[in-house]
Amino acid sequence: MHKLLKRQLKKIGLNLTSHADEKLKEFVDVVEQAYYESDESRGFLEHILSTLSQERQELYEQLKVKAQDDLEQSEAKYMRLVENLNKHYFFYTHNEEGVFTYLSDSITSMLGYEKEEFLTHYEEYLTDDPMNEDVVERTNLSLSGVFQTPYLVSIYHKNKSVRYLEITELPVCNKEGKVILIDGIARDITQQFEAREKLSYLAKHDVLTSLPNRAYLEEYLQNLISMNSRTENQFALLFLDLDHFKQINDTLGHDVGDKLLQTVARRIKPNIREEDLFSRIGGDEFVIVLTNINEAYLTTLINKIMSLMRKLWRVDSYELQVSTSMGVALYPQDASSMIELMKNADIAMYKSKELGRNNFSFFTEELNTQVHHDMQLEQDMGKALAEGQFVLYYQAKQTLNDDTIMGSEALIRWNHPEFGLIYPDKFISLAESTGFIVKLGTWVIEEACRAIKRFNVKDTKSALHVSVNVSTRQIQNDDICRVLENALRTSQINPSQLTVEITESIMVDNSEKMLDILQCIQALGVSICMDDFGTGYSSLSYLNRLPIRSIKIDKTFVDDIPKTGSKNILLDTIVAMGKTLDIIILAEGVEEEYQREYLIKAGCLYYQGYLFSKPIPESEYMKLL
Amino acid sequence: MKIEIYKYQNGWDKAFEASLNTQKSLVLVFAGAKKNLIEKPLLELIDFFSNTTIIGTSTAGEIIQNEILDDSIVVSVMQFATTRVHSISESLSSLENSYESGVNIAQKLLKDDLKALFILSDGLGVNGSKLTQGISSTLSKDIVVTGGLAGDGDRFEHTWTLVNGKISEGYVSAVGLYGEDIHVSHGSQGGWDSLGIERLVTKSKDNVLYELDSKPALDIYKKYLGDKASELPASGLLFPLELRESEDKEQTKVRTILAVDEKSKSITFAGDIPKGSYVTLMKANFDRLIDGANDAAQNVLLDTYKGEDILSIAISCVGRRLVLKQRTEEELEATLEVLPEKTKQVGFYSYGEISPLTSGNCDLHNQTMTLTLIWESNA
Repeated sequence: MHKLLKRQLKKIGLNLTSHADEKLKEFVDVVEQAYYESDESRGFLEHILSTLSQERQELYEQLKVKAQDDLEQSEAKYMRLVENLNKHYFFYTHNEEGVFTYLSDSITSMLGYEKEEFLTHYEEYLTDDPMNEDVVERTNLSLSGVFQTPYLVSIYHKNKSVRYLEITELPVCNKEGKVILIDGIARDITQQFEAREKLSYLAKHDVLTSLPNRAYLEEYLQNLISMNSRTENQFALLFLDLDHFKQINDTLGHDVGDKLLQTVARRIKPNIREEDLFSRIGGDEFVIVLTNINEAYLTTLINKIMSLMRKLWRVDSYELQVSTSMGVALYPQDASSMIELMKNADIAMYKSKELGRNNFSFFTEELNTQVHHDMQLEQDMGKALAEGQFVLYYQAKQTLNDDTIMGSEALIRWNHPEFGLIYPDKFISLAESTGFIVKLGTWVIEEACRAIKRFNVKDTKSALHVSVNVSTRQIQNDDICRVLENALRTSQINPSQLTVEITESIMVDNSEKMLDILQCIQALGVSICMDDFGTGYSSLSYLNRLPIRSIKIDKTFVDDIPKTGSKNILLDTIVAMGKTLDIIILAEGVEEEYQREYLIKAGCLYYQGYLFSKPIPESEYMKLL
Repeated sequence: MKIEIYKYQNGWDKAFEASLNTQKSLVLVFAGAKKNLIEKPLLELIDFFSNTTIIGTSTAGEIIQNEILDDSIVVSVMQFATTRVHSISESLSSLENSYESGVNIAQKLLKDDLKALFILSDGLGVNGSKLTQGISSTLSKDIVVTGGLAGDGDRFEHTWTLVNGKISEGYVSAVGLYGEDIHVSHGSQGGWDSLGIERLVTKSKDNVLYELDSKPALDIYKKYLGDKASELPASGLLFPLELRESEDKEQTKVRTILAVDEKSKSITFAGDIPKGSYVTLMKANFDRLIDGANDAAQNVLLDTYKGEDILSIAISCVGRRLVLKQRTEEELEATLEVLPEKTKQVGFYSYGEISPLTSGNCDLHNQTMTLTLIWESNA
C-alpha cells in the first residue's frame, strides 16, 4: 500500500481487514491509485525538468565551444591577415583617451622599431614635414567620433629614411554613441607618394637644367602676388635672354646649345639666394624672381649676373662668348598681375636688345637711370678708394654747459670726379651689398687714427677722441679687432682716443658672438658707443652685459623735446639710467637752443648737432680746436 | 430528432428501443478494441438495429456523458425527422493511399444537400493528414467534416472500424448527413505547453520522423521519457510535437505518436512531419487540458440551436487520457458544463481527431478535445 495512505489510515485508526466493507476497500484502492498517479506525475515532471535543464546545459556548452571556436578562428583569420600585410600595413587601436591599446607586430617589419620602442617614442619619429602639423587635431577628431577621410603623415624609419603613411581611423561607438575606441590602419604609401612627388616635380621643372619651368614660375608668381597684394611688398622679376643663342644652336648644333644652357644654369644658380627663384621658361630664356629686395642688392646682383654672363663659356672643345640681355620689372610698381609683370619684363628685355644687347633695362625709366647710376658708383668704388676720393668729415661733440669740445664723430664722404660730393646714404648700402664695406670700413678706421694723430699736434692737451661708425656687416667680420689693432699700432695713438659707434641692431643676431667681439674691442682700450639709442632693439639687459662706455640719445628724442617746458619722460629716463649705470650720455641732433637748455636741466652732459657745428672737412674742424 | 444512448458493461444498461430501428436512424458505436470482450453484445446490437445505418470504431476509452468506460460499448441512436443518412467504407490499402481514400469517400458521398461528413477511420493503417487533405480537396468549405481515428487502448496494435456490420481493420468509414434541417457544429482545443527548444526536422518521410537536429528522433524521446521509454509508443503520447511548417510561419499544429521503430530509430506520427519544418516537444498541463476541453465547448457555434434534442460526440486524444488518468473525466464534465442542458454526450478516446481549421478545411488534429454537435430543427 502507498506509504502515505497507509500512514494516514493508521493515524485515523482505520484497519482494512478482510471484514472491511467491500465498497470502502474499493474506494481506498482508487484513492491509492490516485496517490500513485500523483507521485508518478510529479516524478515524471521532475525527470522532464532535469532532462530539460541538462539538455539546455549541453546546448549551452556546445554553443560556448562553438562561439569560442568561431571567435578564435575569426581572430586567427584576422591576425593572419594583419600580420601578412606587414611591410605595407600596421594596425593599431586607441582607447577613448587616444592611448595605444594595440599595435600589430608588422610595425617592426614596416618601420624597423620594436613595438615597445614605437609606443614610447612614436611622437619623436614624426618628421618636421608640414603635413604632420594637424596630426593631433586629426586624432582628436576621431576621438570625437568623426569619420575622416584618410590622411597622410610622414615618419622616420628606424634607418632614418622618411616613410609616408596613409592613416585611416575608424571610431567605434557604444550603444549610447560614445566613442570607446579607435581602430586605425596605417598604410605605407612611400613609393606612391614619392612617385607622385617626382611627377609633380617633373611637371614643374625643366628636364635639361633641372631649374623650375614656366609652369612653376607662373604658380610661384601667382602665390607671391596674392600673398603680397595687401602688404605691397616689393619683388623684382628679371627676364634674361641669351644674346645670339640661335647662332650657336644653328652652327654648333643643339647638343652644344643644350650644354651651354646647362652651364649657364650651373654658373648663375649659386648666386641666387635660397629664398629667390631661378627658372628657365623656354629656349634661352631665364627668369629670376627676387623677393625682399632693396635697390643696392638689386644693383649688385644685376651687375654680378651681367658680368658672369660676359665671361667665356667652355662647352666641349668650344670657347664661346655669350652675353645676356636683361629686362627688369618690379611688383607692384610696374604691374599688378603676373601676366602684366612678365610682359613688362619682356618689354624691358627688348629695350636692352635694342641698346645693342649685353645690357639690362628696367621697365621704369626712372629706376633704369637710378640703377645704372648706382651700378656705376659700385663699379667706381674700388678705384675711388685707391685714388683717395673718400674723405672724412668731422662733427664736433661738446659739453652742454660751456661748449668745450670733447671730440668728434668721423663721417665719410665720397668726392666723386663726375657726380661731386656724395653722402654715405647713396653708397654705404651698395658697399654693404657687394662686401666692399669691409675694405671701406678699414680705411675709415685707419684714416680716423691718422686724423687723431694730426689733431693731437694741433691740440696737445685735450686728447680729443674720434668716433667711427662701424656697420653690422663690418663688425660681423671677425677681423674688426685685428683691423683696429693694426690701425692703433701703425698710428701709435692712445686707444682711448678712438671710439667705435655701433647700433642696437647688431645685437639682434648672434649676441654671444657679438659680445666676444665687443669685449675684444674693449680689451684694446677702444671705447664703444651705442649710436641711435632708443630706436631699435632696445633691451636694457644688454646695457649691463655689453662693455658700453657711452650712449647717443637718438635725434628723434631730441626733436620731441617740448618748447613749452613740459617734460619729455623718455629722454629724462634715458639720462637718469645713464647716470645709474655710469654710462656717458650724449644727445645728438641738437639744433635749437631750447633743446640744449632742456638737456642741461635733465642732467645730460654732452651733445652734438647743428646748433654748434655740422660735419665739416678736417681743415675746418681743425680751426674749431 | 430522437436520441437514445446505451452502454454495455457486463450487460446493456437498458433494452433497445424498437421504434428506433428504422432507415432514418444513424447508430454510432464506440467499443473497446479487444474483440473478444465486446464481439457478442456488438452482434446483438447490430442484429437489433438491422434497418439503420451503423458506423463504429474501436477506442482507447469510451465516453458516455461525463464518464469514461473501458472494454465497453457506448452507443447513440439518432432518429431523424427529415435528414437523410448515407454511409460508405473505403479500404485503406496502404499509408500512401490515404489521400486517394479521402478523395474517394468525399466524391462518393457528395450530393447537393450534403451538410456534414462524420469520419471514423482505422487508427494505425492510415495517414490522417493525407486522408483529410483528400477530403478537403473535394468538398467545399461549408460542409462540416469531423470525426476521429480508431484507438486500441494504450497498445497501438489493432484498431478497427465497422464495415457492413463487421469488425474490420484497414478501413475508413464515413457517413454523410443530408437535408435542410440538420445542424452540425464543432469545436476543438488542445491545451498543451511547448517544452524546451525548437528543433529542426532534418530527416523525415511523410509521417515518419527520423532525425531532429541530425540526431535520431527516438533517442530524444527516450531521453525525455526516462523510465517510461519502455512504454513506447503509448508513453510517446506524453510528448506530442508542436509543428511549425517553416521558419516564416507562425501557425502550429500538434502531432501525436502512433508507432516507433527501434531499428530505424524512427517515430510514426498521426500526421505528416515535413523535412525542414520545426518541431517542439509539448507537455501536458493538467489545468490547461481541462480548460482546453471547456474552450472546445465554448467554440461550438450554437446560434441556430433552439432547444432541440442535441447530441455531442466528444472525441478526445488518448494522450490526454494518459496524462489526466483518474482525472480525465474532469474534461468531460468541463464540456457538459458549457453545452446545452439537453445535451447527450457520447464519444471516445482516439488516435487522432478530425475537425475543420479556422480556414474551413478539415484537418487532422492530435491531443485535442474535439466536439461535434448534431441536432435537427423541429419541423
